[in-house]
Amino acid sequence: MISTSRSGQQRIVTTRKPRVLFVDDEPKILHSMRWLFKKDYDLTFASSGQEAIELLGHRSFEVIVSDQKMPGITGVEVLQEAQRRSPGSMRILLTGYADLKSIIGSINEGEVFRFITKPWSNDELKAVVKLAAQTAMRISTRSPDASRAVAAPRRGGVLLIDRDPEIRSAFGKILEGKYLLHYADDLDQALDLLDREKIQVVVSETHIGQTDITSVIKLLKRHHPNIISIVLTEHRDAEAIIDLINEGQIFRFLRKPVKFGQCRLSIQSAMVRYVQLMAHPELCARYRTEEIDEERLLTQARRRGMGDTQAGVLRQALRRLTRLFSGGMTTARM
Amino acid sequence: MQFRLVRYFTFASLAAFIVVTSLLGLAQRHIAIENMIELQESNSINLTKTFANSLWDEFLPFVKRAGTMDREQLHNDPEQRRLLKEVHALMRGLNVVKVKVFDLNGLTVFSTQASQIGDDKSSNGGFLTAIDGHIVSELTHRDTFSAFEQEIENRDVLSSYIPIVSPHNGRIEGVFEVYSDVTPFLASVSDMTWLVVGLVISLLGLLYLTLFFVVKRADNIIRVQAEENSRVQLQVAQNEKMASLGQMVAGVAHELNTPLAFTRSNLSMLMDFVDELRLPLKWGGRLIGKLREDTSGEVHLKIRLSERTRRKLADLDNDLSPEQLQEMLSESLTGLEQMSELVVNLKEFTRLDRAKIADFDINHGINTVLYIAKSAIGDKIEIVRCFGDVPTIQCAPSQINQIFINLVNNAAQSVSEHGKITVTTSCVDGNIRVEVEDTGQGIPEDVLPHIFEAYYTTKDAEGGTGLGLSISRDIVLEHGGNIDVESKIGVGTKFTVLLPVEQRSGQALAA
Repeated sequence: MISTSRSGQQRIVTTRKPRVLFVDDEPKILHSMRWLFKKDYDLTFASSGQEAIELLGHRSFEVIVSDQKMPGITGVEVLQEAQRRSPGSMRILLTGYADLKSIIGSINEGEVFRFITKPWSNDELKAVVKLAAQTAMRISTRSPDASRAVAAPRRGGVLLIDRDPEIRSAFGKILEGKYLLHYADDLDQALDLLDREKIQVVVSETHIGQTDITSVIKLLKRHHPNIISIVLTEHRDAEAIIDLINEGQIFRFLRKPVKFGQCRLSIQSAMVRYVQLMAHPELCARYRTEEIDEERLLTQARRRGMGDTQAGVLRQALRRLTRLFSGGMTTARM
Repeated sequence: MQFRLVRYFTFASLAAFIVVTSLLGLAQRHIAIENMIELQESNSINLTKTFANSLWDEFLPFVKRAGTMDREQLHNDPEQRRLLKEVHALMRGLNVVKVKVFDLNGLTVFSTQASQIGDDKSSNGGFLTAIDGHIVSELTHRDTFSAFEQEIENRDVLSSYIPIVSPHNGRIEGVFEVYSDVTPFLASVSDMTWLVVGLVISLLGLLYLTLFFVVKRADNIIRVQAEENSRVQLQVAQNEKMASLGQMVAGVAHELNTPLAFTRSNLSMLMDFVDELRLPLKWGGRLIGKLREDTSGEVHLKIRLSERTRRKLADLDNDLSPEQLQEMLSESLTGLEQMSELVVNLKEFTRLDRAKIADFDINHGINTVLYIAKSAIGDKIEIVRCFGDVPTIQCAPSQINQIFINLVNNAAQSVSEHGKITVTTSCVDGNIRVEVEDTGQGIPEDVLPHIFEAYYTTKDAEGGTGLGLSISRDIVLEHGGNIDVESKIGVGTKFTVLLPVEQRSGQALAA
């Protein structure tokens, strides 16, 4: 396989197939996976979380696809362990029953690349595994130590999108003056601040009043993969959160009421991630989102019960966001 | 049984009114008559005294002599006429209608009614009392009464026996009987009584009306609250049903998902393989056609490959083997079988398309319940079935299923990882005995007595309605059975359900 790096120089990469580990307690699922992927990948199968973790001890994989609900060790636990042992692997969680706890766990502990619900569509699953495998292959050959610890920037900018004054004062305490805190009450203010200030981490509600702003969070990640987004919300719609993983690659999902320690830790980790991404822009590929556009986002929002007026407001904001980051500004923003 | 406040209040008030009014009327009447008698008596005493003082000395010799005369002589004695005249004079203007005088032996010496003169009253109670020095009166109603001058009719008459005391020596020397006409007095007493009764009735009526409105209002409030209550209860029961249904549907959906996922994946792969097979099948078919046409026993083929065909051949997936296709199809069939097994069990569990009352094999029912509850139970809990030989019973199977899914779900919730649920069935003394035993955390002693109570729940946070066990108990009782529980903290809990083999009539259950 020949890949072209950004500098234009060609290099020969190993021609081996990407290694993929599938974990599921149902052998027939594993059989289907084998038939589906055997042609293009080097496959390994584990029929339990325990077996998967043992395999992770002496082999490395580009992609790990795990079922969530298994007796003993769950999928989130497997992926969490995978993240610790082989941070270069791309993690995908496959689950039949989207319970909130495992979804949130897959974000915060598993830092999954995609969350796929059973029954899956073969084309989508193939596309996701292919994207994950390509990303992992490219990065593992270019940045052998992508996950090394990096010092957090001294004065990072945090944008908080939330109307609740109590949350604001709580964040004042949480940041302890280490980072600059900017508040936004609505989308316009948020976009103004993104335009004017150096924002590294965005902490956002999923709703401002009645307006579902998850689409803004997703589009922001799409246009500016360096900015790390944390969702802090009291809403808990499993489907919406799954979309936030797959289309928004949110870094953390925190539930209200605010837990100080958890918030502080999340923001610190987010800052570290930001610095990593700035130092190794190619790592952004690890957090690539699904292809999305304004229309799809608006359709999604309407499907979740958004009215026409709110949809109008959202359309304006999405257009502005797209304009804001068009013209290669992304790399200039540090 | 509904308590009708307004009706009960009205009846109770009416009864109380009648009692109070009668008592008050009677008491008033009694007191008034007592007073009247006392007054009359004192009038009669005065009359007697006047008689004793003014006439007694004069007539004493006649009285004393009277005892010796026969009735005829007594009647015709000139003193009689004089006495009658004097007595008439004495009684003028009074309501006295008759006067009699008795000597100490009870002989009627004088009477204003001449026919009674000479009657012996020595054994008369009134006379005997008077001779002892006491005054005695009696109130009687007479249809006709012979007064001085004429017969009077329909009268209330008070008769008093009064001792005649000598003004000289204070000794009793005779007895005076005075009849007074008290009809007007009694009439006024009755008027007064009716007045009192009327007054009391109107006061009580007023009180009743006032209270009636208060009670009516209270009754309305109570009724509205009762309606509200039953609506809320219905709602809660409905919620419980929906919650357990939702739980079941979620579990079943999860169970369906796995076979659905791999079957769908396999079939869509097979669909793609059909494209891959198009070329081989076409060529193979043509080849076979050629071979069939042949009669010589030897076929020579000459194939000219175009660049396009070459490319097509290069793209073909030569990994495809009939074995793999067969395996994919057979796994897909297995998936479909798993799904249909689930659907069959679901149908068995809900029995929506079956008779409500049926002969039912409890062991079969419990198997269905355990299948449906599988996803709720999870893989970490071991299920042990100890099924004995039990006869079928006539019952409402869907309700019986509801009991056991409640018990099994409860057991699953109380068992942490690596626990065990044992379901035992047996037939004991004409009862089917089902035990659902878990190795869970057990039920605290203070909770145990309440667990069958409606709305009692320790799972508020998890959305428990507190109706599961209460509904289960109701179903068991409706089937003429019994449900019991034993529990030990840290050891586990055992529910025992007894269902009689001989059921009550089906109609009773269906009701």
